[in-house]
Amino acid sequence: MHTAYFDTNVYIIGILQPNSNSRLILREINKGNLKVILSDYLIDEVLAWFKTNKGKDFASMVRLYMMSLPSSELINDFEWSVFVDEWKSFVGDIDDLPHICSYFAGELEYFVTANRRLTEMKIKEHVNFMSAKKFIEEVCGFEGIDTVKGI
Amino acid sequence: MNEDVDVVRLPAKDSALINRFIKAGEFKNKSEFITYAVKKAINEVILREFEEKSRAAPPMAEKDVDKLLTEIKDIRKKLWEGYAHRVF
Repeated sequence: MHTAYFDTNVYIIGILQPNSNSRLILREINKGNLKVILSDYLIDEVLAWFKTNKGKDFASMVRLYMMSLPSSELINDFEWSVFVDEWKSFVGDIDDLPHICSYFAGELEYFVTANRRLTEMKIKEHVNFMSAKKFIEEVCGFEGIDTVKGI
Repeated sequence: MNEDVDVVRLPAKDSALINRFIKAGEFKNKSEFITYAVKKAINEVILREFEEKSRAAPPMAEKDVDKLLTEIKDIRKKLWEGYAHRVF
């Protein structure tokens, strides 16, 4: 089973955009075909965005959704923080670090994101970054959907 | 950790199928299988609801994606302050 860390934008876009590669990823996760690592930081981000933009009720539904992801494992700050010292000099924006460290803590194969800025940092030599479209095509073996930034 | 113990009546053939998965090493025991199956079902129902709600959503343009990424970044900066204070 492939293992991956999906950035906040993948969950938000997957939930909101019907014809997107991110939605296809959410379907693959639901089938139990992918092992997913979640972090407390990731869940907080996703929920904060939904709370601000879609309201409390929608955010509650998203919380339940995140907690019910099959084949998922939650990494908390005690675990990802162990990797901070090793990787902080490779990341331009320190606030991206918990995601990167969760990827290492989970010993994952892929880091899927639409955040091009993150994928251009020095850390790119150590993290297997991919767009949602590339992940769908190269890892899941489906035809991807043509979207802006491969979302 | 608090755990609910629910008795689930399964048809014999389903129970036999589950045992086969356990023997094959896919799951440690019946409890693990049922936990997985329940999570998957909940996830599927919610995903279907999201699909229903977003059916008519127009495709995101480049500016929409950039706006979303900026909003996430703003949330990330604020969150980091809290985490950095607590964790380090």
